[in-house]
Amino acid sequence: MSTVKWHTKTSYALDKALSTRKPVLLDLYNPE
Amino acid sequence: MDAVTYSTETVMGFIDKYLVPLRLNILDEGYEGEEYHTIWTPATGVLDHAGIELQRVIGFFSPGEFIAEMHLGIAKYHLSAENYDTALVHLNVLLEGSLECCSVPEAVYFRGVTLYKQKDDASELKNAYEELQKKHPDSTWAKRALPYRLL
Repeated sequence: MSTVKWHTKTSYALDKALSTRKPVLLDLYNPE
Repeated sequence: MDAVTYSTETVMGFIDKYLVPLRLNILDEGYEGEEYHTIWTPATGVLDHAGIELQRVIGFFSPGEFIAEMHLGIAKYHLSAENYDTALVHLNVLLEGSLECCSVPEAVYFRGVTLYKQKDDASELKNAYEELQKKHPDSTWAKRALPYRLL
């Protein structure tokens, strides 16, 4: 099953948000 | 969310176009999301590039509901950045489209806010109040807009 290609490091996602001028989609999840 | 929402082509395409996706497992030993404290999951938010949270929803959403909620969050991001034209594009997609959504009253409210800030014209807040009274009188956003009736 294909799904979203998630970032897992906050700093990387925020840097990418700054460079792309896109907001971050934050998904907080509990795998249990 | 993975099985129902994130795995659909429409949602994956939407996220790729408009958002930088960040997923944090709250049980991870090195969990980085303490500042985004949540009392329940799934919790889905929209952040700006400084990490400031502009929108949060709790629970599971269908693809259509998810996209509608994200249009609202993206609109708030652009409103915060004073990109009013872009904010209005996302609000209007939500308001004029066929997206299944319970956040329409909030979008009406924030369209009024966006137009007010864009034009420096307080009548836009009153217009939002009147639209909420007419179309969504029982919504919490109609109540929140009540003071604008005096403008």
